[in-house]
Amino acid sequence: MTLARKYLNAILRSRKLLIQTLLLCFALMIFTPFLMIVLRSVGRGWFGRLWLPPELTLDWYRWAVEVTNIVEITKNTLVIALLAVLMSTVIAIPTGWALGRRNIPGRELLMSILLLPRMIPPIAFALGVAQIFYRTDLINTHIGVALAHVSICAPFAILILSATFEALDERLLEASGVCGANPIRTFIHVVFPLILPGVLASMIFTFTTSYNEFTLTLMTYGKDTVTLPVRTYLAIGEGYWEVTSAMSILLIIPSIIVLFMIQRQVAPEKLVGGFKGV
Amino acid sequence: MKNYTRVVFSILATVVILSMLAAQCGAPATPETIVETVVVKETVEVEKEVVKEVEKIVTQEVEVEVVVTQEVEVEVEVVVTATPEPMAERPAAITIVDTNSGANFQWYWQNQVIPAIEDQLGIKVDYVVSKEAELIERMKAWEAGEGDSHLLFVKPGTIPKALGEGIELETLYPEKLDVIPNMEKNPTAYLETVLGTPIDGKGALYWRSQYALIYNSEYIKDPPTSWQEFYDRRDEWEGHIGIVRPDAKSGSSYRIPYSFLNAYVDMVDEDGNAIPLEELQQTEEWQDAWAKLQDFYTYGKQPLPAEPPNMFEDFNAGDTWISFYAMDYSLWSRHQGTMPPTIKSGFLAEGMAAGSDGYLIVPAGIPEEYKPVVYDVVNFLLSDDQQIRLITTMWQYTGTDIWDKIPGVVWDTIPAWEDMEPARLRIGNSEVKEYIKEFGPEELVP
Amino acid sequence: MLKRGSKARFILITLLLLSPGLLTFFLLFFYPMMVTLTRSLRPEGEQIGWTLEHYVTFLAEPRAREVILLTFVLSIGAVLCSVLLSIPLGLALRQKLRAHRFYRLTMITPRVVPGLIGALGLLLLFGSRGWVNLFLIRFVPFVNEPISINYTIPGLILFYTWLYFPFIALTTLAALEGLDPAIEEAADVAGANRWQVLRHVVIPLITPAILAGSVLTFMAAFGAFSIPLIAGGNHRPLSVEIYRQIDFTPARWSAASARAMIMAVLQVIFLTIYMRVLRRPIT
Repeated sequence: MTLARKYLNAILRSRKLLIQTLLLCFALMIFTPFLMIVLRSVGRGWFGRLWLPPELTLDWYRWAVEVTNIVEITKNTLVIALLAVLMSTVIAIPTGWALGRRNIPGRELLMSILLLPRMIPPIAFALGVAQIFYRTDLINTHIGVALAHVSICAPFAILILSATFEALDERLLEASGVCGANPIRTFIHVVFPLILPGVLASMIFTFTTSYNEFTLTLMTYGKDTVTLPVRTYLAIGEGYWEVTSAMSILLIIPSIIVLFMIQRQVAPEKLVGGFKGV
Repeated sequence: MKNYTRVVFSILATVVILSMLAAQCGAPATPETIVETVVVKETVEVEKEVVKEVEKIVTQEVEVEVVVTQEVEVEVEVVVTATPEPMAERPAAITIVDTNSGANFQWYWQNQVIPAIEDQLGIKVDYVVSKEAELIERMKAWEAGEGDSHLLFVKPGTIPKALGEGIELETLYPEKLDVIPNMEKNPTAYLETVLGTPIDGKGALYWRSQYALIYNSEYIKDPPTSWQEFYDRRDEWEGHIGIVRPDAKSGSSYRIPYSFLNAYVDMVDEDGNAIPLEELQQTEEWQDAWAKLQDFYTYGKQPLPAEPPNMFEDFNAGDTWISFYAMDYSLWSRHQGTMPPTIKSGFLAEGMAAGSDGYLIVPAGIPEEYKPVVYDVVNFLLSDDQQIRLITTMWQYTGTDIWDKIPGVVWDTIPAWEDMEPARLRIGNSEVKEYIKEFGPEELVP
Repeated sequence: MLKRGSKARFILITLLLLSPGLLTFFLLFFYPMMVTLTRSLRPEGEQIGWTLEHYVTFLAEPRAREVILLTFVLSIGAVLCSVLLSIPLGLALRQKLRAHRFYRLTMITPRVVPGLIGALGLLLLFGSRGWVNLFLIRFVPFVNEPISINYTIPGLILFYTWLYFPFIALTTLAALEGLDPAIEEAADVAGANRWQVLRHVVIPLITPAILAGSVLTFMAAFGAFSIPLIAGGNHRPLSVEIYRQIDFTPARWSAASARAMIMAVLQVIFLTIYMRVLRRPIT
């Protein structure tokens, strides 16, 4: 009896081990590309088929900092992302409220229309955006690039916020009214804390979207609004992938910070921005 | 958990408020500067006239009264006292847009050239890297006199393309010789045509880049010395020859096949004029050479690299042994340790294509007051001191013919110009180049 | 009277609340889309006149069929690979083993870091001197030469999968965690073995979630631009084909716009069919 149990336990444990190994392989698949970039950025004389660089150096980092205006590019990227977050949130709060809390006829249809920019490949309307921007002098301005980003960030924010507002419990608001709070007090003390996580989630996700946006930026950037993805693209085309790697590592740091915030703050499931109609 | 939410949110809120404030601070600044530039424009025009008049007087005086040296000296003093005041009104910062340099030359611009301009001319330079197509699109959208990229450093092909798009460029040679005297040292042939297209002096030549055979001496002990030998010995290196695809953005896409064809067919007549492609295609030599070229491509490393960076990855992996590429790039890479130390370069006798010669161009659509400043910068970049730095630091052939001033040690690293020049093949038949780019992907790629 | 007034006010306020979103939609999406459409119908470089030339010339090229086929092959391949990866991953993560938070974080990494940097890393990893090839040569018998993965279609599908699988993985995981354990227990009690439970109970239950995620992955992969631009080599799906048109000098805006419209229409058609199929109950 005890022997059978021992076997059973062993099998159970080994199954766990198997799963752990699988997961480890999966993590390797995701992280080794970054490890390769790190190794490439600190290695020198890494030719032929060697597993590791024979010589370590920080020269490529020095070079990356000297060649690319890292500070300027980071500033551009952050300013554009913040502007896009701000605009998207300002747009999405009223619209999300209306969609989430009011009975609108054809609500599903309206929602899918608003989500259309996320269904059409961005390059299709990026062409139009670029042509409009050339005409209206919005090209090569931070606000212009941010506006282009809003076209895909706002639908995302509306989606998340309308779901958040929908989940608000009507009875809580009523209770607050019954207890004698005026609408403003109700908003500050009851509604605001409740919607805070949702707003925060939408802000983080729009930030990530804008920070990583490449297609729309490539169409609308100019000499003063070079962002991180565009600079990476230019650098990959130039060769010297050691320097490109170093540059990527320097520019990826904000993304990693955001990754941590996401994990701590909100369920990553929201990142997918699903469609209710499906 | 809740507390944490609040902290993060308050941080975010402060950042948002700060950025709003920053945006507001930034916004009203624009109209003010517009007003300022208008004022500047007026004064500059006045000042330019003054300067021109003064200059006229000086030159006249000099020409007429050469004998009376005292007079000349007095006049020169006038110029000196006249200039400082309007100097203050000159724009103190310009933007240079670079669509030609790779990472190595970007480093050189940022670390050597731009500090030198700031030091010696007192002009602040905003150095921006861009791409040709984007640059041209942006320039097309400029309002006349409001362009914001003042000096462009481009590949030769950009000049005819820009002109073809209706973008006006300042004619630097010979019209601006008085303000850019150093252009006198540029070889005139380079100012008249590029890639078989006349450019009528729209650009100043900053550097000359040269293609050469590059090979890894670890695998290849006796490299070919001519294209014909390269082709005849193709069996030895089957699958290890680096040939960039003919539809790549890089100029190596057509420079490799063009140089190859040149070894078998004359594509320009004795006067240097292009032979029409239709006429060429009738000849037996062309058909034979084209067939050889098609065959040559099948010996390349497959799949053919889409762009040069992919080819260099193959070089570093030891998969590609031999190719034809810009000499400065491979030498610099070897020196920096981004390519194996066994990389060497060699000659191919029948002719090796000129690389992306660096041209400085000045768009006509920039504000007038910027132009004198830009001409000063161009003149500075072509000065002997700057040109010698270019060849001694980067091993790039200079744009000006100042070979006797270059320290002899340079020629230990790169072939002397008098050896290189006869082998240098300036692409003279643009039709052939276009034909390769257009039909190459179908006809040449195996 | 008062009632009607307040109702009108209510509608007005609703409309007002909706207006920012609608305005954004019209100004930043609908209007650019219309500009693209008009541009695609104009002769190249001109502001007047109408022509269908750009559509006709593109669709008449034999290359066009190749390009469209390639775009579909890549995106459908990416969806299939993502599904195959997501199911075991979801099943493993559902058990809340040690460090499962870390693996969740891992799962969304490709969506959070810039795609171009991911692509650079993948190019380095799968290159002929990358670790994958070194591993294959060292440990796998009969592999003596590096296998070319970069710049091939299977390689591109792999890259797409790496970048876009989180959509499916997240929906799958959410569905698995939302499953009522009683159902599986019931099947267990009824004598089904693990595999049978999985095959006949779990998979059918999570299929809607997988399909929902697959729509997202498909859309992202169909419109993918940065990965094929730098890692595609000679394989150019529609998005890169569009970009190449304006990367020429002179830029061919009309030709690019025509291709963009074709791409948008194809995607809408495909998605409509897909969603129709999804709505049908799965037996």
